[in-house]
Amino acid sequence: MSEPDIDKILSYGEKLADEAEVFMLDYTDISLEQREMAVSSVFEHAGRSLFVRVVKDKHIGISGTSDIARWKDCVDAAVSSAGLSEQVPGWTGFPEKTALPKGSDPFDPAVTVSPDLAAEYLDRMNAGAAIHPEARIVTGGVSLSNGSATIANSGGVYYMRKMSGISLGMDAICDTSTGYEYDSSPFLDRINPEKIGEDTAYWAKSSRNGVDVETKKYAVVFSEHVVDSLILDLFTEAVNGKNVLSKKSVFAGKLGEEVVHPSVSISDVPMDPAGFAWKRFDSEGTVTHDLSIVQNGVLSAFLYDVKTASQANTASTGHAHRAGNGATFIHPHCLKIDAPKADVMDKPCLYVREVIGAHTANSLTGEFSVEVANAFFAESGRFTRPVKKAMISGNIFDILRGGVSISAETKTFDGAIVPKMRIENMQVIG
Amino acid sequence: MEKIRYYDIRYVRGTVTSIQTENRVIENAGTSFYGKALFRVLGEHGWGYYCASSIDMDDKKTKAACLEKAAASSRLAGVHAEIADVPFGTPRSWSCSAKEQAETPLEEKARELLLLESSANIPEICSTSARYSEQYQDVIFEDSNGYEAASSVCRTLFTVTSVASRGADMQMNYEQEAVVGPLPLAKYIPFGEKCAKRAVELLDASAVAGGRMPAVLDPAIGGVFAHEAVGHASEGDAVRDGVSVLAEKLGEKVGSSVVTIIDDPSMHGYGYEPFDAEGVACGPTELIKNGVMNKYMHSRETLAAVGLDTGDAGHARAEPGMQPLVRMSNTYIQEGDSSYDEIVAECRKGVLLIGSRGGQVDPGRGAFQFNAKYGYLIENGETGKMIRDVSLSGDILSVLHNIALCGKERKMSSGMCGKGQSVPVSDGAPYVYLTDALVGGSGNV
Repeated sequence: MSEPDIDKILSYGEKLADEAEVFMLDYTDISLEQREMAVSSVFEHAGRSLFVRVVKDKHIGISGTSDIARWKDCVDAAVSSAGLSEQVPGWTGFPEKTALPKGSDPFDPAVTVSPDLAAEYLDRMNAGAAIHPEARIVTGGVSLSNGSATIANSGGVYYMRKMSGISLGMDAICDTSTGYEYDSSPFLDRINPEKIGEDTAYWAKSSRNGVDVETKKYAVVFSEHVVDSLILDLFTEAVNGKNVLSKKSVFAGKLGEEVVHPSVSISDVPMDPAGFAWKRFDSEGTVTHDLSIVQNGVLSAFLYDVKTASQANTASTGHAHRAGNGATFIHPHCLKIDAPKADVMDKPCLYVREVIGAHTANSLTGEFSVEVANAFFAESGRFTRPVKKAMISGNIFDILRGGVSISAETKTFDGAIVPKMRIENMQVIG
Repeated sequence: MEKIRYYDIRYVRGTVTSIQTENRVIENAGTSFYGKALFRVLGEHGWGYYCASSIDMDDKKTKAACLEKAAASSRLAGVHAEIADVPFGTPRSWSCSAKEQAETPLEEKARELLLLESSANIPEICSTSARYSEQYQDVIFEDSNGYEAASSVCRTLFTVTSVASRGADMQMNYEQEAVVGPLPLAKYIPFGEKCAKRAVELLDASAVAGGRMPAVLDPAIGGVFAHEAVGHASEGDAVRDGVSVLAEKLGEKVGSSVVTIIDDPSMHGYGYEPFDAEGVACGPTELIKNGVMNKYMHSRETLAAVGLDTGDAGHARAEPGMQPLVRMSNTYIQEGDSSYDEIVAECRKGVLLIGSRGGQVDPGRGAFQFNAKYGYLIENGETGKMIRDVSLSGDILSVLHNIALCGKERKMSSGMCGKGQSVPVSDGAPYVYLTDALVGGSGNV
């Protein structure tokens, strides 16, 4: 078939299994890459991905393909897969059709997949970077995309989400000091290319001539980037219902217990107006809703998809996302952290804008030991001296238990709205 | 209309079969299919790319339409590029079709994976999981000069993870084996128990106090040093763009004389490629030879840009449907002449770091960081107390000069490398002694 017929795929799947489900991504994108302050390459991409799941006697089978012409092979492979996988006790079935809550998709018609628009944003980033001419812009890039995600199952669910995206990134060097900045959003008017360019050049320029650091404990302020990549990433692993079920979470068995400082609350708000990943339904068709995960320090919920919720004898919280092989994985849509607000840089601190090696942290225990990048001593909200080289070490769960203060201003990432965070007494190795 | 100076088409298709088990139950098992073609056109003012999800390579009309889309993109570019004229070489062919592996029923592989995972079920282990994957990938390459190449490679891997708990304390360990070609799971069943025992031992390990000290790196973390710290900084695009501390250092002493570091796409390791994403087959490239910066890794474009005598093309790699980037394949520190005992004795007081939990580098600044799975304190030239959550960071040039001894035996480890795209790689080293290192940790030992 020239166009994928979802009903036909479902019908074929239902003949071979008790339930069938199709998740399909349709997308076009264009990327402009810059080198030597000019466009060095242009990349266009158009495609579809098809993911099929079937359920036979509570055994779930999965398959996926980027070659839509092979949809029948894909369904057959999913049926074979069901024959191998273990029965899911308590399986409640794919979500049923229901009225979706009101709300918009993360889609902006102004994001057109056009080289002219991409070139305009690249030029605007360069204009921003020109404010700090001491820094040399090495590379830059702009990507524009739009498309749709469709979820349909044999229970009558047939939802489509329109999506758009713009992402920008730039890196610069000044002597041997480097700077990098990026941002992305479904919405054109939430992207400030001049600021991305200016910040990139600023980080490279201002990080030169760093001073040595004495090894001892400091008050440290994490940028939004570091809070997102270090603190929230590891927290997300700990509240993932699958990790809880398989006892790979330090929070397993602690629902209702105080797990962080009583001044800290963390929630997932899928349709938060300031968020990016607006989702009225998740990637298996469960309607999403606000979820309080930690309330005043007390653990109040874990995140589930349908399968893990069935295994845990509870209901899906609507946090299914889709991996490359068609299997679901659990992830928040838009995490928000609440803690005492403060001018986090008012008192003396070591500000850490980025870390090298965030992914090497221990996802089970929360231990980390990483190298800082673009770090500065700061007083009264101003950077006083850049730091030449240092490592920071600690445990993210201990940090959250010890109490933190956060900034009122936030930065939005794909899965979270994130403030800066001040942590007293962190080990810094110079 | 501007002319097309060069084009190539790289069509990659394949299947991936995977099995995941969790606490001795098959979570999922199945097969996915993929096919992506990248059309790459070099015009007067730069590169244009078009990626099609799947294509019939005999369909000349569709190919022409896709090439025209890439050509239209190239007309929007504004940076003139040249590509070096290099010999395409002769691919070194290893046994990698893994026919026997493909013919083994999935049920049997699942049963063996469950046995492997079950062997990790020892006292104090609260959770186990395992994953098996086999990928069969065909690459069909052709360019505007009439050159054609084709390859079929099988990659197989397994990972087993164990979580140990005692009271409120939990520790995790994983073991992995990943190869080009067949990987008979039955042979690796004891790996589960090995993985679990280490996780239990970690419950009694201490967090180390950070600081500057001598360090011994085992072959796994020494390999990560070769990859992260030296390999990325020796990639031709970083050199061309002036964002590598190793740029403009050819012929200069950048490390101690015992240091020789090599990248070899033709080696039978996880990063093996019969030919690269530009159709070029190459052998070993000696990046650093006896402490002297010797060669960079290149694509045809970066070789032309940096200089024909600055290294070897054949190092361009790409995910299916993505543009070629200069990447590593199998990267290692060459063996020296010291025994393990001599190295630990020479260290006297420091740390021995074992295994890798990954790393990252900023080649422009010359800063790197990586984490060990665990380690041991070295006191009076002997290994002592076990330590965990320990990391190493430093600046590339200082650490290369601080390598005082290299062991006699090298081992390779397999993994994936991310640089916008993820590609399979291996890295390795003998035991390596660093006279001075910045060790990170949040403990008191």
